[in-house]
Amino acid sequence: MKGHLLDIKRLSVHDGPGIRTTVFLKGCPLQCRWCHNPESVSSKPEIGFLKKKCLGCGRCAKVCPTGAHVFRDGTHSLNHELCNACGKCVEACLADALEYYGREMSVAEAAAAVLEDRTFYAKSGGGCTLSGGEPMLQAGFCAELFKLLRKEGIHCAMDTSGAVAWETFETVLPYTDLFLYDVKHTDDRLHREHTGSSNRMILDNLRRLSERGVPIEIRIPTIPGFNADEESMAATGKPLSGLPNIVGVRLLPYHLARLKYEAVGHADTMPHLAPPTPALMARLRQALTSAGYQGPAVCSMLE
Amino acid sequence: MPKPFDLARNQLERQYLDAQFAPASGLSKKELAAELARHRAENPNEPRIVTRAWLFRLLCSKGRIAVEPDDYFADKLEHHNLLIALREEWRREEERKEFKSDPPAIPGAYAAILDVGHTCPDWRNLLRYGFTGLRDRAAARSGVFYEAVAMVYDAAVTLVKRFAAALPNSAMAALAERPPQTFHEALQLAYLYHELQEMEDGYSVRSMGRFDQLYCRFYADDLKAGRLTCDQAKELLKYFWVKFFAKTRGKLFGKPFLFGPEVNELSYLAFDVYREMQIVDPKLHVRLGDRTPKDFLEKVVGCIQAGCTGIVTVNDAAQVEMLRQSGKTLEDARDYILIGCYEPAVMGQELNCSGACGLNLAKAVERVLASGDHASFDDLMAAYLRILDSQIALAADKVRREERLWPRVSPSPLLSGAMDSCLERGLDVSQGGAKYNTSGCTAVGLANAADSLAVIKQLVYEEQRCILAELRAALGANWKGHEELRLTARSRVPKWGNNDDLVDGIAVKITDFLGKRINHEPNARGGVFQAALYGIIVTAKAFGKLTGALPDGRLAGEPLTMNTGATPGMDKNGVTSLINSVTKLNLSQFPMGTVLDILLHPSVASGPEGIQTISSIIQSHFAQGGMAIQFNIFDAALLREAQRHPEKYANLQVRVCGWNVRFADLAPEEQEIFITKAEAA
Repeated sequence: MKGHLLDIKRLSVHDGPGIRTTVFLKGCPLQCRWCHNPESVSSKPEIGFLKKKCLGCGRCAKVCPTGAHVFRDGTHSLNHELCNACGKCVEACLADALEYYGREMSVAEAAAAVLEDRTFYAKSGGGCTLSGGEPMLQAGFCAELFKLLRKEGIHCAMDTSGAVAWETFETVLPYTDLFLYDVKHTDDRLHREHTGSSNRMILDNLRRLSERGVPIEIRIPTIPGFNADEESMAATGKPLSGLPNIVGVRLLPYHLARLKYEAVGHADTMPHLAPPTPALMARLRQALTSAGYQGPAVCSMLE
Repeated sequence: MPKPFDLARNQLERQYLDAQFAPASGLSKKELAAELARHRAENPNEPRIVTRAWLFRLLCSKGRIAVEPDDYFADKLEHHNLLIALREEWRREEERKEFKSDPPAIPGAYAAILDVGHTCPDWRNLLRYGFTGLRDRAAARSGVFYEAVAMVYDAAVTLVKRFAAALPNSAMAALAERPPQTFHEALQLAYLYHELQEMEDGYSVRSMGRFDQLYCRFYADDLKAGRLTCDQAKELLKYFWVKFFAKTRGKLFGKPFLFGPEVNELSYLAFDVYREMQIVDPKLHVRLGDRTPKDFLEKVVGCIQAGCTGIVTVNDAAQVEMLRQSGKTLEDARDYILIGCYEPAVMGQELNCSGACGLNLAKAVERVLASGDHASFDDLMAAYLRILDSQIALAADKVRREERLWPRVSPSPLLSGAMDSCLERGLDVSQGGAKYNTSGCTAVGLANAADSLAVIKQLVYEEQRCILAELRAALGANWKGHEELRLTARSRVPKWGNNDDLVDGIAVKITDFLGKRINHEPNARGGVFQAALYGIIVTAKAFGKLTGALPDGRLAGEPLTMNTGATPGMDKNGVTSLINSVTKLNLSQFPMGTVLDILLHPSVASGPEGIQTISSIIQSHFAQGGMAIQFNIFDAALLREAQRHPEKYANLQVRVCGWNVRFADLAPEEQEIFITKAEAA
């Protein structure tokens, strides 16, 4: 079985306990406006163009079968509409200015890449995290990979938006040690407006998942103009308080990734607001607790 | 009573710049030199060890001194480096005779010198006997060597008395009569000995010994007897340690203190003090093992996290085993310290002369390319190793010849007098008096060599993108006009430090060869050479200047890579892959030391989780056979900012290689190396 990967990130310390390797899978059912991995949204392969690194040598244009690479007045641009993501230009580019998002990898290859760092997992209590995109859009791949890794004693965490059909959870549940579960907002209207989807299935899935005995860490991206206020946070904390198996809540401060939108040629939808300050993050953490959520709450940012 | 350290710190850091030597306290440089000239004229056939001891005594008894009433310690003797001048006179004379008819060496292939600076006395003896006891121990025996030892230790006692008279200081008065009994006396003795050693053999990176093991009894006894409080001990330690910074002003080397593997209350106190001081000198080395308590490890790592870059942690069990395999008894192996940057040696029993020679691994690549064509990569690799073999033979031969001159150049009665084996054998350290006499040979530019050979293997022999002649032409032109080939070499061939078997396999071949070739090569002092795998910035730059463009894409004259790290910016898979690459090497083949530099972005290393992350990295590295590891934690933006506004970041430290410095004290091109690394991380 093969998966479509964005990236493999090693020494990952914010995606579950200990030192981990995070495997990013391509494709996502949501369209969050603040997404900092815009290259992960589409399930199809894409070429990213990092203008800063381009040397203007033109090797890419020479090999491009669709004429997507255009050099005009000394400026190089990539016409993403013409691009069929064949990847020839990525091979030709010697300056690492072009990246291929969505390379295929077999379960065995991915497992081998993860196992390279097993000493680090053993010493730190870490493991492997699947993220994305929404990794569970490739649930079969996830399940096979986790199955293999668990045989090797590797701790497996699934970083999910929860926006997939419940049956998908059943596929991966037997092999997952921890879910990192995104909860963005409890207000459905706002959720639709900012992510393109309702939150109903996400919250339903969370309730069902919490009854299955696998630990869940809730992750709340805190986005100015969406949920980075005490009221939203309190509302989000309320339903969490009654759920079993929630081992913690982590607030993830919004950060900018505009260059990535430019690289993959997507319209930049990121809010034009300053990232939350440490002081605000501290207040939000408190709001969560005062609303009834009594478990551990941390913030992925030094306050 | 000296002021609280924080109030006195500025003056204390300038104490050697501002020292005022009272003219009435002794003779001027001219007068001292005249006395020496007279003595030498009157005693033309005097053994050189006696002449040195005589000069040592002259300086201790008649050199000018400076005392600072606001200090806990006295140590300033104006010796004008006369002992070093004498040594250099003899060195020039002897080397001229020895080397005058030698053919010129291949520039940049190796460096081979007489290294008299990487030493460590048996600090136990100093603390057990004091200057008086060591004097008496030597005086009880007869012969030229013992006479010289007794003379220098007697001179040290004379100096102690002069200090005691100039500054009513209880520690000094006691040391004139007996060994140290208090923490204060022990530190005073250690520092004065350190200064006298520098006077005898010049400035170098000697080890200050196993600090917590040696000094804890004094500290604990003082506490128990109510003579000292914990806070007073901290003040003493600060006044003591700041002297090491005041000597270097953070610019060069520094002195290592060793901690662990067993820890005690002084170990904890010392790291608290070090963290409070935020100082680049001295350096603290930590032996970490299974027995290291978790809270101590966290204290050490907390210091690293707080930006104290003067800390190196070493894999204790592996180091002991390596020393055993290189011929030390188990008891001796367990008593190792680290001299210089990370060079293990048995405390007080071994003269490891770790800086004796350096080998340029990259130069051999340049030479193998110039040597002609080779039918296969295996042939080329074999030719490369033959070139290394000849470089090692030449370097070792040069060192042996230098070592034979040593007794006529720089006998060291002060150092010898503190080493049991010298006393037993009646031999100075320069004559091989130590129990173990080893000489270091460190290989520099591993990443350059492995990456370059990988380029040749892949582009020339596997993919046939170019022939050797084309590559040779590109390098001859310093890559000018061959940009596409250079980019291909840089970005299309795997690089050392990414856990890639092609290039890592080449590094393994090179290092296995080095271990076998170097480790049993005899030196001229009854011992052997020992391989090391580290490259300090000074050597990386010096060798780099004399090395042409390389197949890995490096331009002519650029510095070589340091230590076991990747080419800056090329370890794109990150820290875990770098560690996986480095631990593929059999590092126990490098008994003269090796180290890995780790650069972490602050987002990975901050907060309580950061302490766990750093600890886990250290432990994983050791579990895979790593020997020593050191950290830098910063991001590129911070370094750029510090480059623009050095005044705002005066205390920002970076670990350079064997030592750490303030970022602001680096040359701009040296700063760039770290910025490149940080950008890639």
